[in-house]
Amino acid sequence: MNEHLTLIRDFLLRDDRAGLTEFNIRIGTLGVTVCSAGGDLFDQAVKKYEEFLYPEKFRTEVVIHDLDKVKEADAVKQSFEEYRDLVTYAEGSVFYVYRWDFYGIIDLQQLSGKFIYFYGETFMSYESIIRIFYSILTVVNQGFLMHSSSLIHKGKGYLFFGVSGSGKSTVVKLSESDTCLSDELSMIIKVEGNYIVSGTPFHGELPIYTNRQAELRNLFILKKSPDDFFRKLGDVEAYTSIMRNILFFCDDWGLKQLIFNTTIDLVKHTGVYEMNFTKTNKFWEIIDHGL
Amino acid sequence: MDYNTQIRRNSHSAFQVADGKAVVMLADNSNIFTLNEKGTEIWNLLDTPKTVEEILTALLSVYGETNRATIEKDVIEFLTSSLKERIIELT
Repeated sequence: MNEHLTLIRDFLLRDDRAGLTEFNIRIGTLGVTVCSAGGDLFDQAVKKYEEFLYPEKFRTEVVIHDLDKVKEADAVKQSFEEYRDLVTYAEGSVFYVYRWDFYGIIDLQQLSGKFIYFYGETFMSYESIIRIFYSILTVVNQGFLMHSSSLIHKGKGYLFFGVSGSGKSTVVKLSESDTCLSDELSMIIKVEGNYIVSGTPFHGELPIYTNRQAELRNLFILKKSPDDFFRKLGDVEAYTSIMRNILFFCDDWGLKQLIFNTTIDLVKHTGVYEMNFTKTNKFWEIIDHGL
Repeated sequence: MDYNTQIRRNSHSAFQVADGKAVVMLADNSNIFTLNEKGTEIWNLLDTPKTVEEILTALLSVYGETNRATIEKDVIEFLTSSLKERIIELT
């Protein structure tokens, strides 16, 4: 394993970009230039992120290599097979992340990620790399990605989260006249003193997402119920329920503290409620009347 | 725990003060605690390690000797529960 790690690390640090091509993506306020070999995965990414493509190159970049450029590719692939879950560790501002299907180095000072994926036939690894990179980038920009659906309703942003099956996608389906930002993963970020919720192209059950953003007014943890009513969460309940739904993989105390600080600040700036709902859109009436 | 026991904040914790209350997160399990008013006062005093006696003396200088019984009770209760939750630790 160690010799293969060194092999990959050296390869990535050489930063040889021969034959790579790029696209620029902007989610919320955060832009990233993605540089990778052309081909099926590149084309799939450009198609999927079409609405989020941006004409200009960004300073923040993620470079994604294919394993076939590396010596002993099969042996490298094999040596990572046991890592079913993501492994992360930090050396100062540099983060190393790997699992069975990719290896990456993220340098927060340089605002860059260098990755190599081991299985060129699946888009899942390619997208995981972009999502993981964004999850860290968002945290260092006073925000985070959150498992949630989100909507713009009467010009304001609302975010709905909860365990699988709690109704995140149902809320979207019940809100046809509103703009769905995401039914799976929303970006929250502080911009000029306000929290903004943005759509991301990382969709779930419904391929619904919009490259728009709005000031975040409320967050709702969903609970199916025979009645429609809301309960304001106490602070600790709000912090813990939000933090449980943040998409974050790094076991790094410094970054966890950033998430903690952002969460507390977010709760201070917005209202967090338990939303008990009956699978009808009656909840909007209550929200519109000021909860 | 006696009056000479020295106490400090959990060295692997992060905190923020929100609405005048200290909110503490522990590094090992990410558990979060919001301290009450008295707990926040004690937490603030623990910016450097202190003995139980030093904490009491500091609080008595604010609230007066006449409130000693109540303050002693509050301090011991807070320290005992916080030690149990590992919000604070013995030095």
